[in-house]
Amino acid sequence: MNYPVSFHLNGKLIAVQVTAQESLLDVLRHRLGLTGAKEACNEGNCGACTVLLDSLPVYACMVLAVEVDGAAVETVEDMESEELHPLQKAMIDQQGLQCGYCSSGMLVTAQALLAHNSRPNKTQIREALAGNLCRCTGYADIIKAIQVASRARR
Amino acid sequence: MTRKTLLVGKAFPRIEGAVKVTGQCHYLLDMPATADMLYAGLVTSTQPHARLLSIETEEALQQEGVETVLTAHELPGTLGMSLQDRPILAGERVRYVGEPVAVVVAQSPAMARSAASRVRVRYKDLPVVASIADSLAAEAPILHPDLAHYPGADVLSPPDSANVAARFEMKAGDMQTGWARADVILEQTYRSSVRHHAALEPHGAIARQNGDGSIMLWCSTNAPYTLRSEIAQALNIPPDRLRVRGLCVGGGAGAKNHTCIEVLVVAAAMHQPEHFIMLSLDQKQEFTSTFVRPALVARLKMGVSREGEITALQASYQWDVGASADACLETVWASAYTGTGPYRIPHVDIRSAGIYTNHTPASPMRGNDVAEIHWAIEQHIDQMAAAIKMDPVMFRLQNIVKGGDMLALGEAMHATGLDQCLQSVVEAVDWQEKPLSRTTSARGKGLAIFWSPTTLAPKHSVEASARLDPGGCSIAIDAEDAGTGLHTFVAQLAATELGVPLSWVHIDAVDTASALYHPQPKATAELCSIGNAVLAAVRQLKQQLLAFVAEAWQESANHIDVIDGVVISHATERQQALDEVLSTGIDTDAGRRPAPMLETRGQSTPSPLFPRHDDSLSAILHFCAGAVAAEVEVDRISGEIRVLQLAAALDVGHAINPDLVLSQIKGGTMQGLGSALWEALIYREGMPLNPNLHHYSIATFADLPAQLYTHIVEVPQDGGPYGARSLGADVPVMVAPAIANAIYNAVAVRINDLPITSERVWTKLIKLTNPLR
Ligand code: FES
Ligand code: FES
Repeated sequence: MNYPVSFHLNGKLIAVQVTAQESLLDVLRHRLGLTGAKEACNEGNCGACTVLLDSLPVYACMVLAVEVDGAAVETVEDMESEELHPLQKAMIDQQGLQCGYCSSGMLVTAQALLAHNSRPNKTQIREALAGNLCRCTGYADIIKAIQVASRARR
Repeated sequence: MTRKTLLVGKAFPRIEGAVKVTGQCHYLLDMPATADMLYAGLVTSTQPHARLLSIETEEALQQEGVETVLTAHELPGTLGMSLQDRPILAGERVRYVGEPVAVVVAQSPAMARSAASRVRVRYKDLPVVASIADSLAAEAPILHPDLAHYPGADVLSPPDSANVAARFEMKAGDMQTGWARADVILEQTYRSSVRHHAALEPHGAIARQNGDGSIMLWCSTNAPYTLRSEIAQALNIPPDRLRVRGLCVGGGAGAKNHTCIEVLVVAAAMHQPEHFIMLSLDQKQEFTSTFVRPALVARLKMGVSREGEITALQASYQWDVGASADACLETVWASAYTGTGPYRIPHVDIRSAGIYTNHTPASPMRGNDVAEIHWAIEQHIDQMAAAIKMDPVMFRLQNIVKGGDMLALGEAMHATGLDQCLQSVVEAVDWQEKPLSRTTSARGKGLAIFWSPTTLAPKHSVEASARLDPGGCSIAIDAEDAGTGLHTFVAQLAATELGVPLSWVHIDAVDTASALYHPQPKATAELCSIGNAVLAAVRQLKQQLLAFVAEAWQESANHIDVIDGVVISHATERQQALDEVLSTGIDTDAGRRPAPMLETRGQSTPSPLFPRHDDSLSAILHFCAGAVAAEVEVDRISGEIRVLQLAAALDVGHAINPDLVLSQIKGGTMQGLGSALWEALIYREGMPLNPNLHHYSIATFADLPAQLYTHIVEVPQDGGPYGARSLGADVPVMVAPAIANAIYNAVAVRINDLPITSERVWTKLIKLTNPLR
């Protein structure tokens, strides 16, 4: 059985038919072709799938698609406009990524943090990103990247 | 004279950074589904050791959308690069929980999952081999009764016990003499846990058999050529029929160097021709049906003289290779050779063995055997130093292996900056400064040094190709970059050699069908050989380019060079931008002349420092060396451990890109912290208890110590590209023994088993205060 769902995705209103079991991540990746949010554990353990739901970071694999009816969803695809977002640029420059599988989730979580705290300190960054795992970088350079980006923002 | 813009030794952001931060990097699961795509679902063993009585597929086959179900009946055969000891699908028995038993192919992932759950497998349980001790017990069930007849078994030393898959030995000097010269002899046993690679991106594959019988495979691997030969051999097809395409790899840490489930997808594609078949693993399958890191039991006996000289070492390294040893042979082998640790020891008797158990097959993981070996050696060294009342830094400096020293394996060591690494971390943690302690908690400092070999496949040679056209310079190598920075390093080497900006160089995705490129089956992500092959290819490319320009300008090629992307004649000062030359042609006295597309190939056949004389197994190319120091705080009541600071220094020969090398060291240090304190895949009688990232803890943001110091030492490597070493075994950083030594320094308890849980510390603390408990 399909249910109609409409929500704002990266600023555009869209309507899709979804099944009751489908997660937001499934819909983004498989129905809408947005593969920026990554699929890893699919069990809410890693944060690779993080997107913003009404400006707050959520694990898209743990949100049912029917729940987002009427909401606003933002993904990593929304970050760059003409050029890279300062966070994206800092992640590259500060070596905040290696394999890159965690990067989309890290970036949108960091974006949500900077939206309500424009100059976070290290502890605040660590707390805000505690739900995002990275197996490669050891985290220190991701923190550095977020600090650099927070200073670079106008 | 020619002036070169050196892009080597400089920090550049990784070349694929922009695609990765925008989410545009295509990993396997990001490949678009096609309308006719079919989905594979795995049926895996629920029992650690059992006879398979029957596999009933009728109910599954009747489900809507199910195309086929394959079992060992349709898919017999075994897998293995060196030793074929892994069934493609379990046949008459299962040997671990998670072992693939059947593959279902259906029209949607949900249909495949649901049909897989309707395949009825009937088991008759057999006694479980739950540990190395179980496996070696006199009455132990024999897990591979036909081992001696498996293809590849002839290269191995004959086993001394039925469940021993492989064993190696290294002996030097005379043990009697060694013991006689010792004033103190200490014997102890150390253990490490089974761990999981836990790369964020799960294993997965997409395959299709085309109308002409050729097969395409896309999968998440750093070694497409290895997978091609393993799969072709297992399915008995010519390797050329299978074309493996590389993709962005979301981390591998060693779990993606050999085939596990990819072979099943190719087999399914051969049964359902002209359909794309896709499989991606769920979290539990990722933990139980791919590979794990082997656990080690190390028994060390070491002698030392009162003057502080290590006189002898007897060591036994027993590895739990799980249900199949093939992917782990290198670990077993290398541990016999690196098992002295980075010390000069005249009398040595080291034996290593890979031992079958009913666990998921093991494969090397970041740090290979090195992390486990040093977990044992470096704690032992601290105890030896204490026994003769010597400072652990002095004791290490006195016994450290130096360039020119004869090693137990019969070759002379090359120079490394091991002593500089040690000095660097000692300074970083203020070693001499006694940490303050309180009544409820105590602080302590500890350190560890290590060496880490880069191992090479037998008769190892590597090819690379280079192409110059209007799009820039494209390089093809045999390995994907799983995040180590390999592609960026290679691009820096190529750009420097050619005289062009870094942005001109592209690294092609691996395609085993690329005619330009014929590496040997066993590919490697190892920088030294790949770097040298790339340098050779680009040098030829440049020669051809210069010859073309010389001819057009009617000058000698000796006077022409490419600097920062501009072709220049030193004789006439004539110059033209290279991109213009390539796209619209070179200016000659007779007008513009189009440039040909240039293609070259380069090879490197490294001469390993430590060859294997029988030439059938791997050799050691060289050793990286490094040191780690830690400061911890231990709660005297609860045993809780807080890591206050970590310092790591590594000698990489020459850092082609210092930022990327430091990034590797930081990542390795934090992975080391996780494996020191938490990481363990826990089995009870062969049943995995925590096969997911919720119950299997890796380091998180919250665990970052307040101080993290990383440092690069550069003592150039002979024969390495620009003096670089391959980052030994993927930059292991030996955090665990440094933390264990720091805990001993703080509260005088020694933890011999990994991980160092607070519970283990607490148990020992209690004994210390109340010996009766
Ligand atoms: S994929 Fe959603 S949390 Fe891991
Ligand atoms: S960069 Fe690989 S998981 Fe973070």
